[in-house]
Amino acid sequence: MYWIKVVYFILMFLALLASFWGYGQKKYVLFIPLLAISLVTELARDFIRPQYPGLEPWLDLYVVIEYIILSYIISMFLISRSKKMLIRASIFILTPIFLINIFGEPLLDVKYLNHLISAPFLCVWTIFYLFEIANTDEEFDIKKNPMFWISLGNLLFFSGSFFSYGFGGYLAEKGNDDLADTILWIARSLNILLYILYITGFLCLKRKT
Amino acid sequence: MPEEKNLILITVVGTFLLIFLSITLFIFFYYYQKRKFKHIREKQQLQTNFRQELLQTQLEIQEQTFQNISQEIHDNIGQMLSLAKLNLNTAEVTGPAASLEKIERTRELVSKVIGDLRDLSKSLNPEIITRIGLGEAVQRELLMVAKSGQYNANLTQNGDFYRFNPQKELIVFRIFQEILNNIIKHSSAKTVNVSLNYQPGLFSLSVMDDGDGFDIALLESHSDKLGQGIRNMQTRAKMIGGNLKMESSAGKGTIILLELANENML
Repeated sequence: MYWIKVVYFILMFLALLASFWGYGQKKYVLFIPLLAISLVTELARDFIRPQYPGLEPWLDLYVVIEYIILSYIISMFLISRSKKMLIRASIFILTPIFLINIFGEPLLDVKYLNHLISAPFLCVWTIFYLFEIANTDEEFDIKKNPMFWISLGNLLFFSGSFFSYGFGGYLAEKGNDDLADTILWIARSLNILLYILYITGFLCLKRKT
Repeated sequence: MPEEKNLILITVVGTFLLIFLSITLFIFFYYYQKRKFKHIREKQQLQTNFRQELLQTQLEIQEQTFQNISQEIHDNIGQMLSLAKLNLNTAEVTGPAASLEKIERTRELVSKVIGDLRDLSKSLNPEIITRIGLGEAVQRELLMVAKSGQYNANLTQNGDFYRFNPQKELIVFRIFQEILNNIIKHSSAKTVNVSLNYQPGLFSLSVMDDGDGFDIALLESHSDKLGQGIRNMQTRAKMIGGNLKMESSAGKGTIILLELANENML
């Protein structure tokens, strides 16, 4: 499985590079820090964490940052004020819960709990965006719309990885690490798909600029 | 082990189900949007066609009315005035010199009215305009304006002369008449320079005056007759595939340019 890991890191790096096409564009610029943090976190998880197990809670902070940035980005693409407000309010409500789950007493004793909470919300926010593009009166060209591909990636990843993280976490808690790792490969594969779709989206951004 | 197998099965099936649902959702929204946009475009096309047909009908009615007025001037009013002039010419007048002079002046006035009405009749008659062509019609119109003695009207024709679709020539001529009418009514101009440019791929008509000028944006937003007149000119230009541009500012005169590409001349 080593080569998949290599592909994964290469894609993450390429997505980060491609995200620079969004530099100077208010709606896309936040993808740069998001992908940079994502790459650093994954590298730290694989290369530093084995030597420093105490780093784990800090690495889990990525899910919080990811939720905040992605939710905010999606909200910027929405026209409906109420939906914008709802998404932004969710950031203020969920962030303390995420932090309690990491650093305090978690609500449930489940691994990847923050991911399991944030994923359905991010799916719903993405569906909000889809509703809006479906109702737009202008011609929608997927070749010129980066957010279409980014949203597709988000929806596939966050919906598809839900069971994988849920049962993977459950098995890991039970000490069945091998099976948990096998199940988590579904999420990792979807992560690869996510970055491919991000790169596709950023390529549209290049076409636009 | 069976429990683990079940977990794997649930994970795989659940994941695939969610992925399938996500993809279905995306495809549904995408095609829904496409169909909706197609519907909007068709509706807009229908509205545009309707407006075009309405305008075409209006123009046809207008041309028919012009034709009737022109005919009436030529056949009726003109004939009667000619008869009046003949009577004046053949009348045996004996009396004071002042009366003789009055009759002479009346005869001159009637002659002038007959001439003016003949010009008006020609400028209204669509058949004459389509027969003599745009260049000649514009020249006659400018002569009429110059004859008033209040304007210095000049025409220049550049390039190798060619004719295009008579109906389109007529519409270009009506736009030109509207421009000239606006200059006379609103501009206080002294000079009107008209140029007809026959370039190989493009015909253009430009009308330049040294009048008061106006704020184009302000005028276009007005719902009054003048604003409507400008919008009408633009709609007519669009109808024949032309492009009407205006340049004007208060106190600096006005330039109106009508361009018609070759492919729209047929």
